Amino acid sequence: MSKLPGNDPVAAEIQAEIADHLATATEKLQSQGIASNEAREKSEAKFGDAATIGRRCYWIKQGDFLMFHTATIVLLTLLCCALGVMAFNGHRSQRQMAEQMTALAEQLKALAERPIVQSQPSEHPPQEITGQAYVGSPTLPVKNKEVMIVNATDGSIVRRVLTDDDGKYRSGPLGAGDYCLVSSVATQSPLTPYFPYIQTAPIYVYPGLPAPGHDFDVAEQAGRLAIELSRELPSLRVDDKYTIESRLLIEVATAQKRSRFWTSSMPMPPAWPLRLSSVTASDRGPSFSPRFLELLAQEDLKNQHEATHFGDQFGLLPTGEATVVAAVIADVIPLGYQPPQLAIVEATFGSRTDSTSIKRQVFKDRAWQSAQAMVSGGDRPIAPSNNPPTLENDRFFWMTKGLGQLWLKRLSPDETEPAPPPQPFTLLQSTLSVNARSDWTFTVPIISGSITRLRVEVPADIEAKIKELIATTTEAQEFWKYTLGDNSPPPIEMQQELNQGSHPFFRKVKITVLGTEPLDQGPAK
Amino acid sequence: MKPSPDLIRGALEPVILEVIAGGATYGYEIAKAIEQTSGGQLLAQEGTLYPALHRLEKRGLLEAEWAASPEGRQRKHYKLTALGRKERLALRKEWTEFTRAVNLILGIQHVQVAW
Repeated sequence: MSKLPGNDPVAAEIQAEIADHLATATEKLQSQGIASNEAREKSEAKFGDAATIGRRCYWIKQGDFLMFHTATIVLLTLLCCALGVMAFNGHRSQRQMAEQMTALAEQLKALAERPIVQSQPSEHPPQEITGQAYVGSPTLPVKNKEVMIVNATDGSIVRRVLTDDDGKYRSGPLGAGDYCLVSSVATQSPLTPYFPYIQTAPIYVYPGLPAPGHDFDVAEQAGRLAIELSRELPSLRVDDKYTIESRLLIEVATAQKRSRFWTSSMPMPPAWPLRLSSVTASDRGPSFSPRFLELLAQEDLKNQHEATHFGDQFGLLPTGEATVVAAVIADVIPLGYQPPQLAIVEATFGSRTDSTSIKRQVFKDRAWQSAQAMVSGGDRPIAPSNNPPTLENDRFFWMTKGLGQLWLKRLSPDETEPAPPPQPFTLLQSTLSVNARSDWTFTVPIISGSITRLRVEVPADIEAKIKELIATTTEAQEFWKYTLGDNSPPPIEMQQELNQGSHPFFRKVKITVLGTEPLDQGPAK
Repeated sequence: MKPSPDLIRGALEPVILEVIAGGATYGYEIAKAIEQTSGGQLLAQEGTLYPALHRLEKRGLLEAEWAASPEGRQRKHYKLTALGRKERLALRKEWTEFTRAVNLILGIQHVQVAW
């Protein structure tokens, strides 16, 4: 479409029409569960070459005028040449010929320099976006609310306007282009301080089109997830030798949360509006799409409003949709095993050593220190701030001990030696292979003021597979092939097992949406 | 087997007039209606619809107006003009007679379809 003439209302109309087609097709595919990137690609492929089609449409609309313009120039040029020939033949004096040539050359120059305009010139006054800001319902307008008009192409704030007593706003005159509205959330929830702004879907402003309007709900709109298991997480004592224990590792990703403005160079999000942590222009690196991990024991699931936090320490996710991926991680714990005691020291991060230096508790062992940083690092800690990972913390233990490593140590000849801490096995997103194309990634709706209840299918044969492995694999060298967490890349066979959800210690699980129910106790704790 | 581009070119404009008369109003909706009723035979690529729409608009058979979609985007809606309604009926008759003649030559039994 870039070859269509700029600042031309006819070209703008054609572009807007094609853009609407592609956006509608993309949304329809997304509603069928196709990821936004893939949906956009499919829509564009199904549409064909938009630039060529746009040019064909433009030629159909403007071709007659363009042909007339071209033909006029050609005719004048031919006439000029004919006069030149006649002059050579002596039919006119040199003086007459010079005068004719000069006059024609001036005419030709004036015509060539004249800009191409429509045969029926249209005078379109600048457009503006108008509408109302309200909280939940148009009957509850918000006055004196700041509305930012943001250029959707480059993320620049074009103008800031305030709503009047009726919540009405006017953007003021705008040049042709795509715009989004951004405003702060008018009602408070625990989510609001972290993502205080709302960004609307793009609004298309082009001369000649009807005046665009957008009524803007600035209420907090968030929901949360709850989890049900098909059966309890495995916990089994076997022959006074070991216990099988397990946890549910679950990750939620939402494209609704953004660190900065969405712009048209980014993939379309699955739903609007977006939530922003700041009103930042788009020149500061990629916008993140937050992902959040939870590691839950059976006890956590019994009381999960306090234990699941997806998104922040309060468990609220913005309205729209989220992707969820989960695995049951199981392990063999030898009877009598005691986690090693590790010394805790004060350490200083950064180069400054004065009183403003950041001091944190870290572990002497660098591996464990790194593990803690990974567990608690990233956008948010996996555990809420009032329950940070510590040596005694169940989450930290499960995130760092590896899977199968403790039993491997039991099988090893040097078992009597003091056991060093295992290399940290941090269950990160790469372990879960979270991406939009994974068979184990499920899209779930997040509905304002509601809980979306999910069912996690815990495989029935987890205990049996581990018991069989322990019974048949008694050599450390052989058992090592089944362990995770010594920082060596898993062999291809194990990668296949991990991806297929069939690894004895790491079982990816299927998730279904059971339904939604009102979030009747107000915002989650 | 998909029909050749030449056959499609001749059939597309009458089909568009029919689909719009049937209630479809904007590009995506018109494309989907054609795809569903023709089993995907007529529009290999949805974009090819737009030059035909613009030709019909230029010939005065369609008129268009812009309105906001439920998603807040501006959307171009088409409807038949009086000339378009007349042309649609003429094209139906012309197409029926044309296909009857071709079918006779090809030895295909003609089936009268009630319009």
